[in-house]
Amino acid sequence: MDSVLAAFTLVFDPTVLLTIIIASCMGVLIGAIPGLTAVMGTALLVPITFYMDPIPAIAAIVSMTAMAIFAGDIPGALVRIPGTPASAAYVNEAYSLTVAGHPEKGLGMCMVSACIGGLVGTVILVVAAPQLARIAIKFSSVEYFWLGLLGLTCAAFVSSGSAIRGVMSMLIGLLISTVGIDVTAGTPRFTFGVMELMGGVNFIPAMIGMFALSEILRNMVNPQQDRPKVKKISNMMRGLGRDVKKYRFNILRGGLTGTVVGALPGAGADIAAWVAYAFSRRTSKTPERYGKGHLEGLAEAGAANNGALSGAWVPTLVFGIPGDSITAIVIGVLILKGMEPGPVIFIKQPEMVYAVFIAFFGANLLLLPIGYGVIRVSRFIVNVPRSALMAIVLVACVIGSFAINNTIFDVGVMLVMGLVGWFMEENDFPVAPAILGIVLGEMVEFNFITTMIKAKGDFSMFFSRPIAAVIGVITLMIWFSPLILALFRRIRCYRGGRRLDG
Amino acid sequence: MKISDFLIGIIFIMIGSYVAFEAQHFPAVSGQPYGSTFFPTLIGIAMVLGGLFLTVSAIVKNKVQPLLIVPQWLKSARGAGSFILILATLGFYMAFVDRLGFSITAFLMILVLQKWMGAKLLPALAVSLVATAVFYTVFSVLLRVPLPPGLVERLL
Repeated sequence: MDSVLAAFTLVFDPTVLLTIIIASCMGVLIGAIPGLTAVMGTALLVPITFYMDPIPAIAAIVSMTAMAIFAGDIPGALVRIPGTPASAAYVNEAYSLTVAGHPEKGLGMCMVSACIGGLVGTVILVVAAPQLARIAIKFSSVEYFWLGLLGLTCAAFVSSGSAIRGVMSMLIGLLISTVGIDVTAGTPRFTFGVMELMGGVNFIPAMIGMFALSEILRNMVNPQQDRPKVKKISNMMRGLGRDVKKYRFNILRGGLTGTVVGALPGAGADIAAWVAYAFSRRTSKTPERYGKGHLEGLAEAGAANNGALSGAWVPTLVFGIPGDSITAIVIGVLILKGMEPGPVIFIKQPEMVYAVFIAFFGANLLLLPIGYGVIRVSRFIVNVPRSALMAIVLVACVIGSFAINNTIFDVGVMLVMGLVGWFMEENDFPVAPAILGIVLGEMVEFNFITTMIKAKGDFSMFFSRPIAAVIGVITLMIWFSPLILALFRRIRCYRGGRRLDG
Repeated sequence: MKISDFLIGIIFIMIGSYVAFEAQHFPAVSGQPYGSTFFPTLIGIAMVLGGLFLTVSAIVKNKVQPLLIVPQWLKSARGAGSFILILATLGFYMAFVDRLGFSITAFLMILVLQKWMGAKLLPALAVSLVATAVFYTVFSVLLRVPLPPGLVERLL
């Protein structure tokens, strides 16, 4: 209880509150301006948080992302361009309402469902994370090896696109993680004699490149579409209570779906929204109305993407395995701040964990007042001139990559990784598995080598402990599932063929 | 730029075999059954296998695919120019920031990019000036990032 009180005093410090409000406003801008995404905002926020205390730094990231994921709905509803990928699933729904003359109806629902979805996710985070941490405290290198591998596996198979491309993307990430001095033997690997690479590819510049620079490249080369004019938005409170009450079940279920999908490594808010939307449509009584300005799917998916944000923190805090690209960056921040994620943090620094929880509640509740205000002025934000925006973000990328280690070399890292990320997206390789590969590569390798040293090379060690064995079997099953499915299909095909012959 | 699966597979095979080959030169540590060689070798082999899968399935599907699809934007002077300009401004920053200092370099970057995207001169100048000043204040003054100094910084 003492640590809960301590956490409250940590968060309700005037500077922390001010940071949360500034970060929320930043999040609104980032989300509402098409071309700037929540992940990109996080990557660009890190260099600033680098100079803050741990609590305001984390609170800033939490509130910025929560706000950005909601604000991404605004340009989606007004001009049919999702502000962040997480709003793409229901952009037609929201825009149809605008065309029909009721932009306030869709936007109001987006706001409320985002708030409730985020709160559902936070409650699950608060309940589940400490329980899991209690189990995880007994884990050894064997369990961590399998958890890391399971995280990578999930990322490769869950992320959008084909499984083979997901696996290839993961391999790129793993390869990048091997660069530098090896964690167990101290051998320099793939450094090509470059001193700066001895410590490995710097993570933050790499993230800024992959998420911010690649986005700028995509934005600048594609010709700008004409955007429809945005009309004034009338009072959105009218009828909102009735709508929310009508779809309360969808909102709660969306928050739940989102949290679960968010907790899966590699799947973030965008996939959560797609899953929730599809699920909502399949179970709906009126699936034919979807895509034509029906609030049901919008409510469910709008709750899911904010729920996913909180869900992603569960594996991050408990195991040090990021649930999405945002928490992948967060892990880097936590380590920089001396808060190594893992079950130990729940015992050694419980007030930090509670502070994260409080920040999540606060950020999601702030969604309502800030959201209300921003929707009223949204038509001005959506139309920010792109030329100024892209130029400024590019300079922010440069400073951000420079500020962590104060070397120009990192600007080069950002440039190269930006090109890699852009090239991957152009060719339908999902980026999330690569990020997980970079984050988890060292963890998997280190725990594998240590286990092998302990076991003197005996592989059966990996199945010697019950929890490890279960995670191991699940991981292997996922890897072999495409093979088994293909075999199953072949057999069914064969039987079907015989029946036809008969 | 879209590259056919056939070619992407070959690129992966090449990188993978290089990685696996190079990894064999990492020294072994006595007493460690698996050392620094093991993981890179595994990654290299997996890359080769994945590459083979992409290449072979591209051949089996036998869809006549161009090796390289040049996207529409690259064919237009504007799109290709934008792409090169971003890389060029970053290169310019890396090469000259130590001599010109942060303020001048960043100012020029923002100005040139805005002009290229069709902004009017006066607003573009104003935006560049304000943005540079804000960046400098936030990072150099408030956060104490040692941004490279130049003529302007020495005058301040």
